[in-house]
Amino acid sequence: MPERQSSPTVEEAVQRTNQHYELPPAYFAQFLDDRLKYSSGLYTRPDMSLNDAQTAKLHFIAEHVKAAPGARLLDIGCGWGSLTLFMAREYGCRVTAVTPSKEQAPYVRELAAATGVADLVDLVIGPFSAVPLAGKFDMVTMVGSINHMPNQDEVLAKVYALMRPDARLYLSESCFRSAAAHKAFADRPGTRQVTDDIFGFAEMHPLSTLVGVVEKAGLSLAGTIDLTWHFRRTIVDWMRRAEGNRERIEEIAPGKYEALMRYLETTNAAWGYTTKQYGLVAVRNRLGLEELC
Amino acid sequence: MSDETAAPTKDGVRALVREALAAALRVDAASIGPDEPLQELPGADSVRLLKAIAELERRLGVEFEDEEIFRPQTLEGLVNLAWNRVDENA
Repeated sequence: MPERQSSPTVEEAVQRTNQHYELPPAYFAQFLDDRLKYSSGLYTRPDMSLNDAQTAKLHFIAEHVKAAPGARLLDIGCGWGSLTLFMAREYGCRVTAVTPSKEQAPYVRELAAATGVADLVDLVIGPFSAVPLAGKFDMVTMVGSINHMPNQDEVLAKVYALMRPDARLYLSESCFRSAAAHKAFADRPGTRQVTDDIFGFAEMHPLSTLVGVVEKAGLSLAGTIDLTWHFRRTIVDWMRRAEGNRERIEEIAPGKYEALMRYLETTNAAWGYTTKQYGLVAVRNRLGLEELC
Repeated sequence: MSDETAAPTKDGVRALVREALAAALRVDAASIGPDEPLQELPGADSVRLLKAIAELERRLGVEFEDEEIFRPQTLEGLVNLAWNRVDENA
């Protein structure tokens, strides 16, 4: 194993991460849900389908950031636009979506036009920490994006500055189960296959680190939600879909099937042992929220 | 629920361990020798062994200590780990 490099620059992290997210959307369509939401669903009924669980999760996020018609959302790391388009279509929000991926941005832009919400959706291409953003936002979402950013304090400081008073942040991420697990597993081959080989660049932290980052930015942390059970269940569904579409995956991205399954299997084996999945709800308000998360 | 869960015996736990290992490593349960090093079983790696442990915890309704999870080197070692925990809770 080569020595793990110290934190890359933003440019290096973007370049390495893009190698993963610039695989064609058709590849991800072989195992994700119809919206290509590459994050945990929420199984509110035992027999729920992957598509329904992802819809339930999008509503869950919308409720936590208090989505409302005309409210401005900043979606940092929008992926293939599942949350961006949902918030525009279902809640009438005005969304600014940021992605460093030159594959994802036109894909989301086209979908916005095709579904009649082009006037509500603005795509910004580039790393969040580098792109200029105008105005203030009522809501900010970072669904599985902060682990791809090496400069988290700087990122959250920028988020804070873009939030109106009482604006809400929903941030979700895969975490090490504890600081001890971080120390023991960060450089293990299984972890590095996921963070480096699959994602290009990703750095997992324990929840306590993310709490510290939110705290340092000056936000009130209104709640943390354990989504581990739901992400494990989500990945079971992804694996089932991938297995059924094995040939198609090999056609689209030759040689990627085994690595994908290995990544999904490793991820699911580790939940609760070395890793956890959390959602954090924060608010730009000194006193936090009146209602409890 | 199987009988061994209702009234756990060491043989019942052994059968469960064998089953969990076989399912996680995708090998025939009967092919796993009691003292064969787990890491040398066909298909074995830390991820699959962890899956077997998770399955065992679920089936037995126990949680092992983090430090002891990767300690057992053989099927019998895993049986002893599981049996001690079941016995403790009995």
